[in-house]
Amino acid sequence: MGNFVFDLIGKNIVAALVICIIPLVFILPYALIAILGELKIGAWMQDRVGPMRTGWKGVLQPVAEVVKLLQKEDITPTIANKPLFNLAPFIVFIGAFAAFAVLPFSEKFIPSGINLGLFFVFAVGSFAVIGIVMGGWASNNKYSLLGAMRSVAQIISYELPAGMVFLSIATIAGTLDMQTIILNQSGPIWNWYIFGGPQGGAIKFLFIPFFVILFIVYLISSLAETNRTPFDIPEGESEIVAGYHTEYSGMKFAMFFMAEYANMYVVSAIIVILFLGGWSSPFGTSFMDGPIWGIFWMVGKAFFFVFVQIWLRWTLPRLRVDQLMYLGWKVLLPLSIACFMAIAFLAMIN
Amino acid sequence: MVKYFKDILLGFWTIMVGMKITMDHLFQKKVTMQYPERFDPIDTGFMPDNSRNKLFVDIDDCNGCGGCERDCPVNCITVETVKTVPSDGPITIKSGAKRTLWVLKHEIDYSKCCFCSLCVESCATSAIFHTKEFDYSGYDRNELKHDFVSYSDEEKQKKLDNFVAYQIVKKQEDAAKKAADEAAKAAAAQITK
Amino acid sequence: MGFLNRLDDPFNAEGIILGKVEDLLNWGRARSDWYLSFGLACCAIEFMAVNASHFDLMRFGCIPRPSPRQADFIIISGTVTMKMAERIITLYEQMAEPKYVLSMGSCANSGGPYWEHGYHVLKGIDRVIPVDVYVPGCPPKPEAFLDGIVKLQKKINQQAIFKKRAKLAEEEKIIVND
Ligand code: SF4
Ligand code: SF4
Ligand code: SF4
Repeated sequence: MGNFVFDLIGKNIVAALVICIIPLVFILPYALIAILGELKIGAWMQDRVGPMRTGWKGVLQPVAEVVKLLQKEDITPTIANKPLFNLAPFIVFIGAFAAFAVLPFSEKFIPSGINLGLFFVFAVGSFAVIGIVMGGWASNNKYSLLGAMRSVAQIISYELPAGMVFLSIATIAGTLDMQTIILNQSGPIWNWYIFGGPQGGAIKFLFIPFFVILFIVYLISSLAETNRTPFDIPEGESEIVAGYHTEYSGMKFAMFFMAEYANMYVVSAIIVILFLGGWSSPFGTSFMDGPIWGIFWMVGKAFFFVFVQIWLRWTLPRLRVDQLMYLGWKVLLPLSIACFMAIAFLAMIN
Repeated sequence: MVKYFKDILLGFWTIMVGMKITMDHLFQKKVTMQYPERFDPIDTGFMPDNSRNKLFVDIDDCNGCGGCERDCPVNCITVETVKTVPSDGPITIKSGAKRTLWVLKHEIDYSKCCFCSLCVESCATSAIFHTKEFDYSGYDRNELKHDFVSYSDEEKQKKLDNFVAYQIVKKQEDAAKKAADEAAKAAAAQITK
Repeated sequence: MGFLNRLDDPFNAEGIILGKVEDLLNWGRARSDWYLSFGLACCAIEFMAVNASHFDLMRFGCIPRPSPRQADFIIISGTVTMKMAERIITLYEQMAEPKYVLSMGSCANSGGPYWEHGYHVLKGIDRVIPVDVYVPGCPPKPEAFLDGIVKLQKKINQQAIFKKRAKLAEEEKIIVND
């Protein structure tokens, strides 16, 4: 197992640097594509055409945006706490980028195959909220602070169901290592955890509803963790100007922006790894399988969930804070605990 | 308890319905009319006939009555006129009536105009009317002022001078006439005495 | 714009490299205009129509931003009362350079119906902030507004970043010499 870069260059510092850079090289084009997708899909869903005048049918719109953001004045408010204000966007971005360290792209490319992968993702996932609170508080603006507080409340409420989902999958897979989780699911399509996983024989089909519920629970909590609509109350334009990034301009705002899109990929990839077999092909091991196809399946499935996030964004209105709390504490948490118990039972009888 | 699960299912169901609607619209024909490239409201007949756009004054038809200036609720029209003199010869406006006033200035300030069309209503000769032109944004506020009179400054000055000269001539004529009248009156009084 | 300072010294502003860089920078700014979602009076209603599906302001790369820090241009859409003028100045000053102003409708252009007797209305937004494009109309048709956007983009495309800086330096020199 492991890493084709190590196979090629050997285990040395150059190889380590190359491995660090590959996800970064992936994030930048991905962010451009995702931004274009966001604009275009949003427009199409509203019967509009979206950006049309930048390049062919507007495909260069994200590039123009980057060129524009590079030139914008970088404002630091005088009454802001400057070191924290300047650090916050980088912390948010590092939080998103650090998760890429353990996200496998294919059998042959896993930046770091640590056997606590799930736990690591969960830990750095909460990193972003530190950056958000830091930025919100350091801006010295009441709207920023309100946005940051909302973000904290939201992430604390939704980490619990997400944690229960991780726990359930870890229980049934018997490991926290992402590679092993994916390898468990290789083979035919019903080995995927959304269809109950590879174990258990016929009895596992009784448990499929629980897996599906867990899948939906994680989909919802991941939206909340990335601050995407319908859970974008930390930056709700209609209430608190732009939430925690009200005072940010130019490249610092672009960092927040990029972190959001990087986070979208991270949570989509985790959905794919936990429930949809990661890099394994839906046609079993014989057809379109292998390390190269692995990249295709992994990224393709993750992109589908990025699309789902965009789709949800342009469908649903923003939740109110009390509805958010109701959904998190009274619906998702009990459901996920119930499913966890059922799945623990399934793991026990195996 | 039943209500709780019902609510969850209902919420889930409505989200599904909403997602289906947006998915339908994703593949529907788009309604956007792409204005500068592929959509010209005048050519496509999208502009209604009674639409109120840029104003135009046909200065050959304007007799300088100043009705539009008086009726404009925001006073954005300035009309300046000078009387014609007999030496200009017999001049008419386009519609055939006699011209008694030269229009030296007929300026509309589109940056103030509220396109109410009252000036159009009040013009007796229909010299002022709405065109179909709508895209005339400017980089300067003064670009939005338009003077419809095309006389050069000399011509205007000449018309003013003509009028002043005619005034003097007329005054002299009047004075002479008055003197003659008075003389005649005096003579008549003499006779009656 | 710190990095521009370093760029324009070693090259000639008319030269190929700087010319191309300038074109690229102008292209970026012209094609990605984020506007402050901000409306004032009846013109704001027409402005909403411009955003809707039939006219779709996003075709021009105009994306609404709620915070002035992230906006590139502000649309003064409607009657500017004296009280609101102060807020507009604040908003304008909060925006990050380079920033543009689009004045929409007669009221913002020059006070419109209130220019003579409106004791409460600012007689033209250009009395307090510099305006780039004036869109006439009361309210302007959506197409007229889009024409204003096209003209604004044209103006941004023709801006001379480096030349202007060189010229500014000349002027400063003259002042110093005096
Ligand atoms: S349309 Fe109304 S506001 Fe405009 S010039 Fe005519 S009368 Fe004045
Ligand atoms: S009302 Fe008509 S004729 Fe009279 S000044 Fe105005 S445009 Fe000319
Ligand atoms: S220009 Fe006309 S439509 Fe626009 S705000 Fe003023 S009165 Fe209202």
